[in-house]
Amino acid sequence: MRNILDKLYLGAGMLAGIFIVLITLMILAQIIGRWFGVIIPSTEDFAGFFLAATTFLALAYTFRMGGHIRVTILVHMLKGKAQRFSLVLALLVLIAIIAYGCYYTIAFVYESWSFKEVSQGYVPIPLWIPQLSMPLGLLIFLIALIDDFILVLLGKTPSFVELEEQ
Amino acid sequence: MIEISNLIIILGAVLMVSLLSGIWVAASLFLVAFTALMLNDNSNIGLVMATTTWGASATWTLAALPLFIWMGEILFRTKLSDDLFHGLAPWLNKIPGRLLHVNILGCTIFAAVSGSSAATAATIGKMTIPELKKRGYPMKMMIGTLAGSGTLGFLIPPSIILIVYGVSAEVSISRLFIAGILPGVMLVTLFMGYTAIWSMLHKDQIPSEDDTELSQMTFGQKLYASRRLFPVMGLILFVLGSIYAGWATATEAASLGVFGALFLSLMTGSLSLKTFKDSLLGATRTSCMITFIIAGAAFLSLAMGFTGIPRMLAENISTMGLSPIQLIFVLTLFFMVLGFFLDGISMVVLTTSIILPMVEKSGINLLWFGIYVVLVVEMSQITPPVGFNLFVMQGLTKINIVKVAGYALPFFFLLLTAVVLLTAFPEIATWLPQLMTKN
Repeated sequence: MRNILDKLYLGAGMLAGIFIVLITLMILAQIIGRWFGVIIPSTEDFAGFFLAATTFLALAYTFRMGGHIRVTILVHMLKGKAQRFSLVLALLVLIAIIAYGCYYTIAFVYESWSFKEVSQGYVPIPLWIPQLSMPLGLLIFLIALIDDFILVLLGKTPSFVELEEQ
Repeated sequence: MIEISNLIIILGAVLMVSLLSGIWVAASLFLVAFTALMLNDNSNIGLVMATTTWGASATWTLAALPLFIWMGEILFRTKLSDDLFHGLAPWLNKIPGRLLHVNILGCTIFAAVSGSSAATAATIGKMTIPELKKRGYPMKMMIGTLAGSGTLGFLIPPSIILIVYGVSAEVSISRLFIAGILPGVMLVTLFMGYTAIWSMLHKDQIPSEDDTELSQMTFGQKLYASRRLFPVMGLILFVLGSIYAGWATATEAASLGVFGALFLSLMTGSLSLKTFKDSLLGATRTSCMITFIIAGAAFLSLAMGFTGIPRMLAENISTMGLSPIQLIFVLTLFFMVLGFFLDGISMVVLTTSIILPMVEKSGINLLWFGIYVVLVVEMSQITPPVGFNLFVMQGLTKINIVKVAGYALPFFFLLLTAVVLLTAFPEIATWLPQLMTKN
């Protein structure tokens, strides 16, 4: 189970990285195309979609690596039980926010789908397709959060605590 | 409906409590925005949140962010930092203060590669501290120059924090980059000038007979020693030049920068599947952290708009008759307090969501304000208790943080001088972007 979950987070993180590569390649293609008078349509839309995919798919992986920042000056002064309590509290708040976000982004994507919304650019893309990265990424993030929450309850230290800078 | 003044107190309290209790910055922003909308009796908060988050995440201008971060991550792995000391030292040996200037210029070059102030100070320090220590330079100036010039990481373009400001304040990123050039040069001049004057006043503390090796080098030998620095500097100049000349938007320049960085790392033999993957994943993490905060800030901005707080603050400014200079003075104090516990990016997004209308109303140029904010954020990097650069220096030298802060203090005042100069002569920031428009 541990193994599968870790692979899920890392896999989503790598996919997020691939989207950065895709943004780079697409924009380079656009620049080269311009020299030859070729216009690659809707690159601005696609760059935005890929960027969103990068952000959401990487949420869980970044979290596990201690990448999301928080103010730790007071928390680090706490010792033993108090520190554990603060960790439980912070995780609970984040879980609540992300679960809420998950629910409503699914509703949001469902709306785009049922109203058949498309992008404004030259190539009309059904918006629900790129928007899907949002609930998907948040869901993986939620799993990672619950995962770490259980770890804390079991008395273990989640990975992000050790990897946090400062 | 709640009185607006009570609303400010409640929301301020929610923000402070959630930040200080160790809830992630992005989550704290969502929480405050959510509270604001609840108290404002908005319906459909969830869908508003989803729409705003999507709008803030899927934007073309923001695409420059992961690309510039990736470019930096690639260049970082070309071992550029190893070449900086031996490449710069021969040129600086004759100036008063000698190799202390390697710290300043090393940080400046590295700052163009890295958008982080702490990473700049750490990378350059790791390499120069042993070398300078060996030669007997005073600890006080070694640490001071590093902590101070490390902060250039925020200002010297391509700057990550300027992208964040540009996207949240809807100011052109290209123009912000160009606006950052002269203030960057000014800061470097201030730092180097101070170091030179200090060294002339304390001649006994600067090792006099430095390397005979260094002083006897011919021009050709010096050029040879710094041969590996030119391609990197060339790449940065090319990226900035293409923006300045209007050939490329910031995002396009960033993708060219990634291409150039990959090419350089291939040429220097540091490109492998591992470095490629590491650089990409590193960029993914940093970019995700920042865009998550930007999404939170976008939701907060929207919520703030509903509460009317920014509008009220803006009106207060005009009824109080506060002049722009007075406002900047008050804001500088305010940012210094914020900087005691918040990092630069969080400070910038909070600023843009809440006080930007006020700044605009008082007639301050938003392009100029972006550069000003970055300077103030730089100051906060070297003030205790949470000056990140101070921690970095403490980690590198094992010297007590209070002493480190003392060593960095002159550089804090130099940054303050830069803020005063920028306020007195706003053209330092706005002149180059204006020239750019005329082209």
